[in-house]
Amino acid sequence: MIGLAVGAAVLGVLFQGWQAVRYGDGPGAGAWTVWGMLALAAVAVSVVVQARWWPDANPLGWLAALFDGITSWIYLGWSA
Amino acid sequence: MIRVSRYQLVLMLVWTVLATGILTMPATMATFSVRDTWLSSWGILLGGTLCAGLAWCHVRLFPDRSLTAAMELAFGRFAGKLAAVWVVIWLVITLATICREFGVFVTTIALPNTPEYLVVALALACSAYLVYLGLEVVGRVNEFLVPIAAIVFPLLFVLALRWFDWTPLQPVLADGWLPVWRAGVVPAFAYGLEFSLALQWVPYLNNPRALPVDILLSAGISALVLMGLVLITDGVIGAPVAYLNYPVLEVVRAIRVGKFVERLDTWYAMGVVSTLVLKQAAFQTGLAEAFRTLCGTRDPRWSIWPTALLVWSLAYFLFRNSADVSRFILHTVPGYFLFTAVLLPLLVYAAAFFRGVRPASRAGAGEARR
Repeated sequence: MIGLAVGAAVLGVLFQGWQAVRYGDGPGAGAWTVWGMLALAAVAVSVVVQARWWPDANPLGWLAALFDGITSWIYLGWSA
Repeated sequence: MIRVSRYQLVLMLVWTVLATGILTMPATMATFSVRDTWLSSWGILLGGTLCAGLAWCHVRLFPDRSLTAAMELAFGRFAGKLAAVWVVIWLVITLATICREFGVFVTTIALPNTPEYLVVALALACSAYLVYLGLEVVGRVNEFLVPIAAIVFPLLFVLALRWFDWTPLQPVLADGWLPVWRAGVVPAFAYGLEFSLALQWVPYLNNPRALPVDILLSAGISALVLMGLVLITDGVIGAPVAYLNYPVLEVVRAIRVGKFVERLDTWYAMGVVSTLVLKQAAFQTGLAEAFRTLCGTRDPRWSIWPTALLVWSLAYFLFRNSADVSRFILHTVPGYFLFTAVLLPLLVYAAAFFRGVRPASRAGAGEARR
């Protein structure tokens, strides 16, 4: 299910990115659109890779590692 | 382009915060205290005040730019794009969280045999279509909901007052201010900071100069409504509120008048589902605007459907169950939002100030003048 959905998202994004490159305007629109699409595709591929080979890993673990400490500080020392 | 009026803006902001706030905040706050949570609900005002301060800086420096567009002007092209990518990731993760909350709520209370991902797909299709039509249409749908909210919601809670008891709320501040602060962290730093989403809507506002006042007004209304909800849920349910996922729903379920008026929770569920879809639409609009400025295109609509699909799949990939969602909101979101919605914009305005970026005129909505 996840692979299908992400695959659909990537295809949709790439298709729409191509449309944006073709019809978009503004300085460097095309180049940045391509970079943006590639970044999204990379995110989607990494989602599929993690779901397939590391199903138990926490995908938001990096955010927790970055911000749980700050949150605990906001709570004035509380953490579960 | 039809711009969003101040009235529509206030409604959109109120529902953006209260849609999931009604669902999860009373239970999350009860983790720390039941007796004094009505005081903690004013935390929203703290978050709203921070966002109003940011909006004051924003509309003076960038009166016709969204936050992601301002980043490029303040930080330069490369660093600005990187900062905008961070905001995109923030919006995507927040949207995925909202979608998962939506799916869990609907399948728990109304459609237990329907797969959650189908429910979320339908909601995302609705919100994506709204966003495709434009922010002003989202505002108009918000206006349409006002009569329901103004008549039905208060009526439901007045009917619940029959079971209200002051005992669970007394004695006030018996444990001091620490539990009040801790219970107020989620309203202040998770939901209150969602008002900063309005910075992404600046190009679509009729009167961006009034944005700080509108945010303060929305924060005041939201805090007042939340305080009422928390008072009633704590007074009706008492200490067990800490063990319920949807305490407000249980209060509405308790209403029974005579032998024929009962199960009014259907009305409540309809209202919550509608406001949740509007909240999704509000965030999707911000996301589409972020993609537009990131990719330098004129029209934001090209990214709406693909990102809806991405958010749909991430809602199930990022969170294994509803406990994961609660843990994320309680432990990570306050720090994450404080950094992304407050510190990052502050850096943008400081950089713009020291680099001498001058405000662009609204009439010449093209390039900002340096």
